[in-house]
Amino acid sequence: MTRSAIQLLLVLFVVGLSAFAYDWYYRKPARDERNRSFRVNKVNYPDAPISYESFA
Amino acid sequence: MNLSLNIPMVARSHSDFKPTDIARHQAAADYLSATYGTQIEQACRLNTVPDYLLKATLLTENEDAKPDSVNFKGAVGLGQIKPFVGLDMLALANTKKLLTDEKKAVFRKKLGSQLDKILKVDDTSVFKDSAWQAIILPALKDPEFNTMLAALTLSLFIREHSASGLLRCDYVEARYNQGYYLLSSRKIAKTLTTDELIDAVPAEAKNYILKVCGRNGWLDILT
Repeated sequence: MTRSAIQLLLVLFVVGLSAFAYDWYYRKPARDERNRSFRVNKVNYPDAPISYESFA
Repeated sequence: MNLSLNIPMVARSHSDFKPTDIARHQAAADYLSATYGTQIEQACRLNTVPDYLLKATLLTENEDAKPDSVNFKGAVGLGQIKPFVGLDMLALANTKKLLTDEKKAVFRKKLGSQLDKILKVDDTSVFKDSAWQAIILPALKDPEFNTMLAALTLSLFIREHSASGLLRCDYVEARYNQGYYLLSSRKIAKTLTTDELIDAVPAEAKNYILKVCGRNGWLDILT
């Protein structure tokens, strides 16, 4: 492999790494937010008598 | 990530949420949906927040759904957001890379170029200044702005309380009520049970958790 080919690979590696870091730092939080979904589990408490409370 | 919510989260119930109160609460929820459904849908879509969680929060804060109401602590609008908190949440969401262009466009409708000024602030303690708060105060009375900011705040909390795949609505709601810094200021761990959390927070937050997450509470009614 010639020296120029090695230099080209090195540049491509640095560019790729920078793009990955940019995506991870700037875009991942909003992407994670968009990709979340929610599922409700309705819970019964058959053995627990209901108690009504308020705090002052 | 698929997040599970256990509803209700505790066997206990708030004394304003007896079975005889369900019809009244359902009517309040129906009014909120009929009047501000468009704004709520947009806020939930852009922040990926379940509509029942945003509605439960708005109903706990402002059951009559009056957008221009200001309480004795200075909290404003449908989500009862204090101006300082609103400014702080905008800056915090921007720092955490959650303020997308679509969300900014909604906030910019009311704030214009002042939004950029808010987002450039490094030391958010300046938001305690009344001149800063005057910038956001009128906007907080706008239902679209207020619901978007309430959903943005919930989104920040959802991110911090869903690590195990289980969404802890009790923590989310306690922090919405007491402020972002509740856990650090009171040294409260993120791993408490709901009953332990209720014991650890101030009385106002105890009531808040029960109203939202308890039996016959808002989440129980809305899901």
